[in-house]
Amino acid sequence: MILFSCRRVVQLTSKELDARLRLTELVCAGGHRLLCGQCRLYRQQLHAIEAAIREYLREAPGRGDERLPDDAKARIRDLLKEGSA
Amino acid sequence: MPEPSAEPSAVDCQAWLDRHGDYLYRYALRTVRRAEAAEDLVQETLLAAWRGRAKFAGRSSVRSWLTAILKRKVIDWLRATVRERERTSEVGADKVEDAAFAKSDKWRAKSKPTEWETDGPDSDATRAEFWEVVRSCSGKLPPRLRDVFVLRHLEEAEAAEICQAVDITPSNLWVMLHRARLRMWRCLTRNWYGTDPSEPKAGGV
Repeated sequence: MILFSCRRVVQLTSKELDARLRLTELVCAGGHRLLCGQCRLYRQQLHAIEAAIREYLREAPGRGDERLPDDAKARIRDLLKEGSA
Repeated sequence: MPEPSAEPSAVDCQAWLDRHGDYLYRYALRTVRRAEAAEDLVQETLLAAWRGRAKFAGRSSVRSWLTAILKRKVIDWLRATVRERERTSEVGADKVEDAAFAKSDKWRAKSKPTEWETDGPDSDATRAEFWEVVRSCSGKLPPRLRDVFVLRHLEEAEAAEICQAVDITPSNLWVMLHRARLRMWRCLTRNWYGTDPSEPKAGGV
């Protein structure tokens, strides 16, 4: 569909999140999306996911119930003692 | 009465470990996904914080300050890991991408994007569930893609700067990020946004 395939447009949908597309890439991908509802939807959904992942990495990594193992705590405590001695 | 000291004492540093050690460990574990490396990163963070305690102006909370130090250490760790791995790896074909597209390079019927049935989380409770799904999906990425993906999203740097730091070409970076995103899209669509009832909810990436 219009010069670029769905596969190529999906690749460019990711690339545009990291780099400025070349003019031909921009025009051909945009033209493809005008006629291809799936690639249009993929772009919309990928942008939503991208925003969610950024929020996750900002808000959520410290949540959960894993605990620093006791032996690691003891080792770090000793190192801090040494460092402050 | 002694004057309050601007610098944390050794006792304060022990308190950092007690109060924030588990949090820092979880942060490191969620981003590097290797327990031993996560322990080392927490250790390096607390030692760096102790050495740099004079610079802590108290403008942010101790936890935010420690997390910022840890984040920098995680980024350095990911950069080193990606650099080392990519020296000997090549970007070849990708099964997940091949499965999504037909020979004509159009979407396969089974893989086509469809309207999501639900939006993102709308309350704290569903947010926690959503984060769990995001964590699970990112955990299922192949380590090679995951490290690059997390690095890209943690780094507030241009992609070109990341390429330079980890010594890979922009093309390789874009291919890896595209493959990681395609997997995340598929996994989150199946396991959260729920648009494909024919697929099992517990499907992998």
